Amino acid sequence: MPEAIVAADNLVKKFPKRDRPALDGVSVEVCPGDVVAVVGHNGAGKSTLFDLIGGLSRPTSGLVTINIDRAEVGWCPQREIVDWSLTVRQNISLGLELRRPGARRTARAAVDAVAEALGLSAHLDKTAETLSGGELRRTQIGRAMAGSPELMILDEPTTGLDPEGIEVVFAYLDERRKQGAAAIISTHETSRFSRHCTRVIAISDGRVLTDLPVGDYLALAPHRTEDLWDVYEQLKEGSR
Amino acid sequence: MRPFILTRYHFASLWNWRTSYLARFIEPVAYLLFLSTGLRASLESRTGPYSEFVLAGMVCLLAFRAATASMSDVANDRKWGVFAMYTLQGGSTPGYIASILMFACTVFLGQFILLLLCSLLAFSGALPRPDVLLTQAAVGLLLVVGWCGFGVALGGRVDSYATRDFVVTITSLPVILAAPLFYPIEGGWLQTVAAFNPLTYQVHALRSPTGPWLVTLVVWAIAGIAVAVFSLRRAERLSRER
Repeated sequence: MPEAIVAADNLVKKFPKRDRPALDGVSVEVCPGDVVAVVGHNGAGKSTLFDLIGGLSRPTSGLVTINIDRAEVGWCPQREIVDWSLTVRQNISLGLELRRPGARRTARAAVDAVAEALGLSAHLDKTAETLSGGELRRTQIGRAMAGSPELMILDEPTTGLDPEGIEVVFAYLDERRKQGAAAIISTHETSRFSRHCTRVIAISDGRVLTDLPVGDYLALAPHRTEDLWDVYEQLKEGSR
Repeated sequence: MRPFILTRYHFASLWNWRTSYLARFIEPVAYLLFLSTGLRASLESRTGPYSEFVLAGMVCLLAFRAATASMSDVANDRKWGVFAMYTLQGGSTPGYIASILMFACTVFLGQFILLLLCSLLAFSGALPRPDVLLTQAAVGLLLVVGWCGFGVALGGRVDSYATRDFVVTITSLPVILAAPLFYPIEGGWLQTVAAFNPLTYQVHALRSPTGPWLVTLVVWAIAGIAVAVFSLRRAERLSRER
């Protein structure tokens, strides 16, 4: 088995004034070529897990190890974070240049490539304040994917996208996976995403219910299904 | 490297939103052309050459304004994820602060040159000597660094537009007007207030720069940076503001 790109070990995250921890002993590994779907209801702990893996917050206990250069990590949090005073090109380019400080000369080509893949080419010179919600989201995804990082941490990247936009993002992820990149993604597009992910981690109440290859995960359902959510609900029922 | 990259994007931001940022250049010009020209006739007998007196005051005004501008810039960077991206991708908090300072100092120098040009117009060519101007620009940079540091520190704590506007509104006029920037303050309750205002001492240092004053202003600049680093290291990388 190849060495994990990301190893999260026994993560616990507690917030003040909350009885239960948001994460309670979660361990996750992501290896090259993995596209890991993290499935769970709202408040299950998905975004907390992504924030810890992305480095946005620190765990109460446990350890996150990133075994690649930070320059190879593309990050797209759940919240819409785009600099409204910059154009789409500048936003994507800023993310890329901060990741790879020497990339200024190649940034233009990298931004053009990711913009074309995400259908943003016509918007590159518009400031973020003039974009629709879907275009803003794609700008954020483009920033995470520009320069083809080895690992993408994408927290609900498809929120606010129309079906066509969602297919564009998933198709781009497929392409990157074939090139050996890895991704950890949470999405509510559970029926479509089963065709694009390689592994599924189901989370409920801050705990991992299961962590399986997508085929084995779907096989847990009593009937044939392609919807990750069907299995999730069954797992949740079984855990009560 | 990263501080320079981010500084470049601060300027891109300024250019994209140039109509909004124009106020940073118009405000000091308006103070100079209208307020100081109006005061000149009645004050010049007490202040000596008014162009020199008011230019020092204007430098202090610019330095103080750099604090409120930096506070807004940092609050926006925390809201829009720029600070989070910068630090998560390997950049350091002091490096981020350096980008804010480089931007603020360059804007200050641009404002200073603009003020000199306007002074030529307002005071019929009566400008201080070149060595005085250079000293004022250099001391002004120290003031800008210190004030920006305190602005950055506040920006690391402020999580809403309402708080930001409140801080700017309640501090701007009282701090600027309760210091001898445009007129001498002699006696009365205002002098007591002025005694607690850093601008009172800073404008004095600009008008009569001496070794001890310069050392004090270097300490001021270092203190501002230290407070900024302390505050931002403890701030949430991404603010809750939407």
